[in-house]
Amino acid sequence: MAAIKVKGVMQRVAVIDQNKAIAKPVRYSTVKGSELVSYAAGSSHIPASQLLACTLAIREAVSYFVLNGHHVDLGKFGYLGMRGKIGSAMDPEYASADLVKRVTVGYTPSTDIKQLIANIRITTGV
Amino acid sequence: MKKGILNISFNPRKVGFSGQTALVASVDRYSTIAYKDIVAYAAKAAAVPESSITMAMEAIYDALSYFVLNGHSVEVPNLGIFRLTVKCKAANTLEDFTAGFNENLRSVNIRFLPCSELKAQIASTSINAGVGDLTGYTSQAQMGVSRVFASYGSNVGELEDGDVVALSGLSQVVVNGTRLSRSFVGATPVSVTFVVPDGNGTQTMVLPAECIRQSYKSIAIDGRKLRALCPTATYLAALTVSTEGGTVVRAYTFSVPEGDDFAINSIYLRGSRVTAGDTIRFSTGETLAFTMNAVNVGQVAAVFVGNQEADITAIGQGAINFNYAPTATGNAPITVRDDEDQVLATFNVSFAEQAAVVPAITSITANGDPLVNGSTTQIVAGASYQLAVAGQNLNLLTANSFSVPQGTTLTITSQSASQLLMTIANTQAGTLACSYNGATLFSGTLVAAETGGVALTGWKERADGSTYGMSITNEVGEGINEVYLAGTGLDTLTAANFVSSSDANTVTAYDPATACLTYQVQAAGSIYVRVDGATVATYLFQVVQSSEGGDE
Repeated sequence: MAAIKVKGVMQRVAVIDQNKAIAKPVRYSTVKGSELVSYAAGSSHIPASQLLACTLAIREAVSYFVLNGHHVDLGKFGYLGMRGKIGSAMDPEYASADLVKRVTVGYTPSTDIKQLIANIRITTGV
Repeated sequence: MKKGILNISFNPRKVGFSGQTALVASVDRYSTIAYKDIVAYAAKAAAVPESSITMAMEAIYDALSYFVLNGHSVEVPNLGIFRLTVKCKAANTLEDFTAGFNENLRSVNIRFLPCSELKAQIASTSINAGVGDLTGYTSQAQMGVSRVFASYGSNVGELEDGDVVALSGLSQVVVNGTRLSRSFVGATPVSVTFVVPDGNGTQTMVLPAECIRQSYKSIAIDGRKLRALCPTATYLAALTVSTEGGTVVRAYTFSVPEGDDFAINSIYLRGSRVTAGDTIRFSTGETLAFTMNAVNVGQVAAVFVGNQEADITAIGQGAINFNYAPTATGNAPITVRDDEDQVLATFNVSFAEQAAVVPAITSITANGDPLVNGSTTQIVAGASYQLAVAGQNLNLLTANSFSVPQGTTLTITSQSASQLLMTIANTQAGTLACSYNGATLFSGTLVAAETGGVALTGWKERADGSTYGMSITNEVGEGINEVYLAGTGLDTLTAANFVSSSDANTVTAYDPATACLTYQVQAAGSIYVRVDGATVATYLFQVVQSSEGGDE
């Protein structure tokens, strides 16, 4: 079972203009891409070069499909797709692309990952 | 690399916090590319067998989920970083947070942050906007909502001081690329002042900080968006945002571009602004003088109120002055028409008769003594009295509203809604009455008083004996004064017959043999001569405040 630690930090909450204690998961480290590939290669006995080629291929697929409005199924890991932060309009005349504030690639976990997340053991600590 | 193309669609959807239906956009999703298709695509792109790709992806995802779910951030080469996030209810202190953590924990999620290369690709993506099915959707403009004050186009993008902007049917205030709410989130209470271009209207709203919700992406009070709270006007000339103490945080002015369309900015009546939907009250026979501030008034040929054409008295300089005499009550919209009798604009108002305003008298005094309605009051025949009338709407009364005994003359010296000052001279016994539109407001009887043979005809100075009438003016602070009285029965008077209207002025002595009165003046007021309760002399001395630097 996975386990994470969550710490409380005092931070200004802009909406209410007050300092509040909010939760932040403790980040143990940032696993670099090369480390990920090495780990995956070690555990699966697949050559690292092949794994790296695989990640590049996935990257190509994301660029090609996701940036053209498709969602991409990443198997048991989840989905990637475009998301946007777009203002609303009261009149059709002003419903335009100028209302787009930001678009980005968003991740949606698969049911398997959701189940794993639900089973994470969470402890608090500073 | 070929740029991506995204489509977004606007569809009517109820916005929860405001309760309004707005066009809300979302990114169109064409399809979901299946896992096997991704594998096939990757295999082709990397020139690697599909089976190898499948195995490689499984291995990477296993490693990815293992690290991420154990609290590490994980970078997928050339793609981005996956990391965990936690959603938890905020607590006031760290102790409260620790104690209530399990209850306050909402959810754990994985978030994806694209790498810089992917971000650059996203930024270069073309976005096309379209409007979806609008069946049943009625926009604010279509509904003719008159309370739309100024709407700012999201298509304007940003406004800067001095910008010329077309203002119509838009939904938010954007200042220098930032929506107004975002500029001042968390600030102390601010006020937003809107000045309409005709210069006659200023509207200020004080917005408590907690009413400005960042998540709302616009200013809202009690769930109502700013545009719904704004006053009636078509154009905005200036926008000032200031703190509660009045310090101006931001100030912007905008100019309105020239256009061909006629538009009503505001309508004023009796110095007050008329709001659409108002009921205008009028008196019978009253002619109402309207001032309409508008743009492109040159197109106007006639103004109608209901079915009756109003009398245009002046037109030009962005304003139309017209008179209208209501003859009926009920709805009577003000419509502006051009020379082809086409309606340029309509302003909905209704008319109702207001209750008649009548004067009312609450009290009358004569030289400070009260005259009682319906009762008898003693006067000295031939004397003069100053009448002070108190009440409401007294400015409607005229000298003809009063009837005085024959031989008595009445002069109004001062008049306001609450007070009326008059002088009656050569007062005779009889009826003193006041009436308005046939209704009697006051009626009292004046009777000649028994004065014991005392009658005052004037005063004279020691030096030459000249007589100057019944009153003499002294200045405050003149100290001890002497005056010799003229008349009959003066030898029967004593100092007690002289009454001062002010405690500061005193009668120090009276000599019946020489009819010499000695008095001291300290304050403005009068001195009366009274015999058996009747005032023989209306005011013998009137004392006024001396002025500095006056003539010797």
